[in-house]
Amino acid sequence: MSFSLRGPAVVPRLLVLPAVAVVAASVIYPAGWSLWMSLHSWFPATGTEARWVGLENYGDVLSSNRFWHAMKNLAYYVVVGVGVEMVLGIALALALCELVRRNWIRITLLTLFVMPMMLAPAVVGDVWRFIYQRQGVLNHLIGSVGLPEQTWTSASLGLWSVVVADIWQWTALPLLIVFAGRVALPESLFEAARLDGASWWYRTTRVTLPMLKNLIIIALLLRVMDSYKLIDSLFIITNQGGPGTSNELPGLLAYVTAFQDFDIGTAATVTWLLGLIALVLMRLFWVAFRRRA
Amino acid sequence: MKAAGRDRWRLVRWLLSVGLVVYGIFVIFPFYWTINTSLKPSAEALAQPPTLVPKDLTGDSYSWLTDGQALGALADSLIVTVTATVLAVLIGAMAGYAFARWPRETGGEEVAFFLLSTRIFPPVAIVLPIYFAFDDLGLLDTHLGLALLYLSFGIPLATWLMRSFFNEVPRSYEEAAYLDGYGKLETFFKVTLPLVAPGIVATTILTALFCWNEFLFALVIGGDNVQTYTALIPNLAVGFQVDWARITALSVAAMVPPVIAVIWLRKHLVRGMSLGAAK
Repeated sequence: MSFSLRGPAVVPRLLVLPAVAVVAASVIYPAGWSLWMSLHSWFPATGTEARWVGLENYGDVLSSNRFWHAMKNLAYYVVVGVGVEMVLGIALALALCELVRRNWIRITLLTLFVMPMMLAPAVVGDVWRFIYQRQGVLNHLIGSVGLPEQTWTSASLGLWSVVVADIWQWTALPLLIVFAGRVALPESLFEAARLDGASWWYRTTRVTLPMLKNLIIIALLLRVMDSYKLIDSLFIITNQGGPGTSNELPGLLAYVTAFQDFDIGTAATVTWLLGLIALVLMRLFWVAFRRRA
Repeated sequence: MKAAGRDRWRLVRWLLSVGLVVYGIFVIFPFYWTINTSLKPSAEALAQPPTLVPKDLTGDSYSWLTDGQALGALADSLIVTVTATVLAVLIGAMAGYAFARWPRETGGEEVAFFLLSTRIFPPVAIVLPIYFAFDDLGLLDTHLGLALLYLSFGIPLATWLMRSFFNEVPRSYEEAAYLDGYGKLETFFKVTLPLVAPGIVATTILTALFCWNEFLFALVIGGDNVQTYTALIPNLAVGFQVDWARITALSVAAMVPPVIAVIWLRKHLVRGMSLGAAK
């Protein structure tokens, strides 16, 4: 059925129209523009016109060390950072459900755990940047147990410092989702397993986690989808991915390429490569979501 | 055999309890440290050894917040947040209602999901073309420009949430109202809207939080004229003479709305933050 503004469907369509129009304009136009620009060489700061170069930018980006270094950082960030968030979040959610019986304690702990997630990532960045200062509290703490002080934002440690801040902020996401799923499971399920003499470990790995599988996948996808967008806390903790380009992630690489190097064609190319990752993940998300529904 | 199982269960319980406490401390410490620092004089912020409570308790950093740069930045964040949120919730509620009531005519879940999926695109991919478009339109460094950009990201969130709240209102309630002789508009305003009022509150808070917390658009689209507090932070936090007492005071001020929101929304947390995925 084609979209027409007549007949019985006119009111629903008019109601939906502003939302669809605004979103389409703010996504389809930029996506098309970026695709076009990624096929050009354009340095607006030099006052030159954009020049058609075909797929040259893609070849340059895909053969540049800087891009692959950023992708490697992203892989570390996802495997370690998101990995720890998932395991920790699931463990804490189950602990909250199985150990804490009083509802107000549950809600209080949940509220506390979720607080970092609601803060601006830029604020999280500067809270942790302060903790990571050379004369900061972290160096003082590890000094008091006899360990040498570290430059937490160095080329070798910077990414991991960002990962810790990220774990602080985002462990609550899998925690919340798994907690909600676990609370919704019927208690009789666990009673049956308990009467059968199943151990805690057996119940958890054979009953609880399989029942929550789709929710865990959704939480994982949400975290992975946030990972390639990450800029804010990374920007502030490592001062734009530094030292040099050592701690860049792809999103920040695109930002720096566009707004510091003024290399618009290359920046557009990087954003399109990120967009392709997004499309694949979006598809996976939709499948997981539909299976849940 | 049974006894061994019980012992092991006791060990697991003990480990999980310790885990909850340790994680709680890990979550609280940065909050404590930020508030602690914000109440110190600038010179004490990086004193060696660090002081666990301010030696010279002072509100200097908070009085710095009330003049000039910091106050302007907080005001800019507020203006843009309020403008974008009001419009996003209005447009999102309209669309959410249509998606919930007429799924066939509007494409229902699939179109709603398309809206939501636009949030999956990296914002940096959006902001680059928008920067040049806004440059042409004279929207760079204006409240309107930034609010428009936030609107385009707030609408999908608001639509998706409102759709799930409207879905929870049984259609039979509306049909009963029609039978009682209510018109369509009357039904909407007298029956449906009051039932989703808590949902509207939750949606408003979550959309506002997104705007309040946003960084990249503010950094790129803002400038000397419009500089939100998030865009101000890197200017303050990087360099040779960093006044950490002041930055932490600004952070504490910026934390107030989200912290109030979490406490207010504690019962809605699950749905809001997982975008309804857990429902």
